[in-house]
Amino acid sequence: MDNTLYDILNEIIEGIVIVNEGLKICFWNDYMENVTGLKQEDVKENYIYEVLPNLNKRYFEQSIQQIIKNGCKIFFSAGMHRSLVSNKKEFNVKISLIQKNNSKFFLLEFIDVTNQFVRINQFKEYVQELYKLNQKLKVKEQLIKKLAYYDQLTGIANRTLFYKIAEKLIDNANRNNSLIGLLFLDIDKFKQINDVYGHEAGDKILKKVACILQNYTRKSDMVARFGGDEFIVLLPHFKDSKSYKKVASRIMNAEDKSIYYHSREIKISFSVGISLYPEHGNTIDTLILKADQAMYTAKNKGGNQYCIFE
Amino acid sequence: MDNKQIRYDILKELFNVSVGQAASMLSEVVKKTILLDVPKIEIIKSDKELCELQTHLPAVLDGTLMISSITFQEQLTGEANLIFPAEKMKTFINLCLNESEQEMQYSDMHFTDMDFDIIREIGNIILNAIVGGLSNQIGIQLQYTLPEVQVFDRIDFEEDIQNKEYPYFLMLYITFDIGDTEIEGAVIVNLTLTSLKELMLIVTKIEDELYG
Repeated sequence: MDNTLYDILNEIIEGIVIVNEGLKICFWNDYMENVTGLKQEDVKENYIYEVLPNLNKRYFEQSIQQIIKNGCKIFFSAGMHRSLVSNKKEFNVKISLIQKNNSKFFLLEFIDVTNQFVRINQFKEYVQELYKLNQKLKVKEQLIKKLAYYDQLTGIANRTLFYKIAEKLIDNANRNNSLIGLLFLDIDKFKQINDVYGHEAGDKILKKVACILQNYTRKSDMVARFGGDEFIVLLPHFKDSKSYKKVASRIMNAEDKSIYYHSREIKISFSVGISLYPEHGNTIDTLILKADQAMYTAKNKGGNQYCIFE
Repeated sequence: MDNKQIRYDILKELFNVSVGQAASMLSEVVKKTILLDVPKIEIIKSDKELCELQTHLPAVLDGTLMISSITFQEQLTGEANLIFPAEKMKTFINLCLNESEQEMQYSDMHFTDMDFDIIREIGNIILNAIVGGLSNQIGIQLQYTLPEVQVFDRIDFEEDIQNKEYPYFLMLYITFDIGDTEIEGAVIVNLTLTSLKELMLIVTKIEDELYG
């Protein structure tokens, strides 16, 4: 091959190696010299496998055979063939057949994709960070939801969640012509218990009441802490007002209505007022107001009982 | 068995030998057992309705497709396209790169330049085997290009391939097994009438040798 062609190949910013049919190096351009530190005069006439030992694989040999047989071109990706030329850089390799005067040569082109690898790795690290951050945000989102809708002390729904769900239940009852019962519950002498035993005992009682209400109602009922020592239970899908009395009786007669605080038993009692939708009102605020009034009637009768609004 | 079916079976066997060699080479490259199989072959005339190809493309090839294409010329002229669902190819790339489960968790459907190069290499091995097998059977040498890799939507691909001036499609249904993952795809070889005649002559010759 003439020198002009070699000069051109030396100007190309990619590795160019030409080997003969016996896989001995005929040409090794300046770029290859820079990348490998091996001079053309040192590698010329040497087997390509001796100079670039990472090419010494069976599939490389098979590819060469395929090129001779079919005249096809072969491509090796740096992603699947790491460190083919040097440990510092990654190259895609293209191999083509050149035929001249009944002789066969193979043109090996080494295209540097190291920067791509660096960028892709940076991108992957960035994606990983985003993924982890996203996971953390999801956990925080759950926590915020819990803080916004659930009572911190008892773990049951708070007033905000109660209103959200109550509105929907009333809409459903309105559509299906069904009944809803609302139980407004206030712990008897709660202020006195707090004053005598302290807030720690008061908190224990609030937790206990929340637990009783959950245990003695259905899963579809809604138990919420309305504020202070007031709780609300919303009972949808009942057929008649007698059913509400049964639920109220069950709660009133719960067996475990006491707590132990510093080995002392503190008995719990509460007063319950009941209002019914649609009989006593069409809005949730009206139903709460009526149930609250009924609860005061129960308190005025000495507490530890339930009353239906009249 | 009718003559057409016998010819299809002969073609199928010819291509299975070629893809078997490609599978063995790929297995060695990725250091995992890879099986390639051509269970079915069809020859489709492309001057019919535009929807013709739709009825032949495997149903699994829906949505985003990853296509490697090479063109070849000399005594046979045409184009060969290897088609797989992009999503499955992403899994395959991750397996090739030995990505950890954690890394695969973060990976999405965006293809990097490195991913495209891996698909180019796989396409190169499979398509060279198929077209090379074809040219060897006919006893000719072809000039090939390196694969071009593109991501297409199925509808765009159907339009693209039917707009090209090749009257025949040779459709090879292909399955690709790597570990627990099976990928179904297709190879569509667009051929000129002369090329198809050359091919069918070879098949007829083999048929005559087999059945006298």
